[in-house]
Amino acid sequence: MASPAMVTLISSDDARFEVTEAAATMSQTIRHMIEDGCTDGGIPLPNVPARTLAKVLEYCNKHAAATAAESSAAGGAAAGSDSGSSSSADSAGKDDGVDLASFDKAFVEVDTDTLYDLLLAANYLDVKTLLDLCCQKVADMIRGKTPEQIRQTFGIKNDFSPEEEEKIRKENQWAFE
Amino acid sequence: MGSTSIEPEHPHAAGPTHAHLHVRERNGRRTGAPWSRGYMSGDETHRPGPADAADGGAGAGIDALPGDILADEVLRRLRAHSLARCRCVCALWRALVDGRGLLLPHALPPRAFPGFFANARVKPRRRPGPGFGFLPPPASRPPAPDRLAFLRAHLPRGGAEAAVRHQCNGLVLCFQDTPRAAGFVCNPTTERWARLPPPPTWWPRGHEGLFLAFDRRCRWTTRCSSSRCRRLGRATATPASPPRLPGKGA
Repeated sequence: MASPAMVTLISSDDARFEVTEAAATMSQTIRHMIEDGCTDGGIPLPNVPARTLAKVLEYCNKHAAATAAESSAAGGAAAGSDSGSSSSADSAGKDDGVDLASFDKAFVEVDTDTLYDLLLAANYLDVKTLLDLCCQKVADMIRGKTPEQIRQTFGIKNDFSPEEEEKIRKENQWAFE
Repeated sequence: MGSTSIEPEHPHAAGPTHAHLHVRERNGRRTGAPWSRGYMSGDETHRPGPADAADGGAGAGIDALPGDILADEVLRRLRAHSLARCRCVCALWRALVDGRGLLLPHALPPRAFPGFFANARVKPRRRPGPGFGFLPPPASRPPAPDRLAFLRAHLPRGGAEAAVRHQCNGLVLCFQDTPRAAGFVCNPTTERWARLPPPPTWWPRGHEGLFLAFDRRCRWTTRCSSSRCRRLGRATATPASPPRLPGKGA
């Protein structure tokens, strides 16, 4: 808690990112690697390109900071390291929930390709809350759309023959009423 | 691990690390080939994002998601109406929805009370006259579509009537009172149906004492039980007391 331990993450395209251990260990995958002691020279993440990793780390930093603020606010006295004014820590505790929710909402307002990349990275890095966030976003994009709108949104090719499509539509006629 | 100093720019040094990550992934919740894109290219530096985007714009995207993520993490969050529409999107999505039974927990789509089945019964021991009907709640105007019309087409001697005997969990038990009586379990929502296997003895007269029951042990099966028949196919005999029904819609 006192000294912010740093770890270095290396993206698939060899970009290096230095982050606090608190943020990095939001990823269970990275947490396991740190526990195994294989952090020398940085942790290579060959499945995550720099662009996506930067975005994931933005999320982790924000959430790790919020968690830290929350626990220090809950602990009562500020642990004294750097959090500027203790008066703001009190009010921050409450704002954080709202703040974080709006951060999350804005965070997934991205184009679909970025969203898939984030989703895959969250799955690989095993950041549960981020995976949930991305999946919920995709689900929200599906909800309330017709099959044709879904295809357009996600660029899916309709591989049904007209007869097949008619048949499936009939099977689920109730969903179109 | 600590013994090797890893230099990312050196192609061969990356080998063991890849293997290590792969193992981690295997130990995780998901297996399969979630990282089929990009992963196997191993030592080469690759940039999956831009490359894929160049391939097919937004197109390459969602198909690159592994099926288990798409089904278990995304589609499972949707409710019946959206899921049913997803079935119509493409063959893969239909396979995911059907293969994982995503619609099954939603036997009755969440919406306003749609109405109820009613049997018009005439004198006992005779064929029920007009058979069953689907009655909408009084307030709703449009005449109700016959919710079991799809079944009629499959009845022996097309057009013969069948009466609704029982319902459970969104499934309906129908009997056709012909000399060769036939029983059907059908789901008016998904329009799927199955014919009951004939019992070793005759069907009980008037088909009384026949119930559908939800069996918790087999998560998604509903059994047909009779107070008189010892066995109905795989169904087990139960006492004459009616099965416990889920409160909703009973």
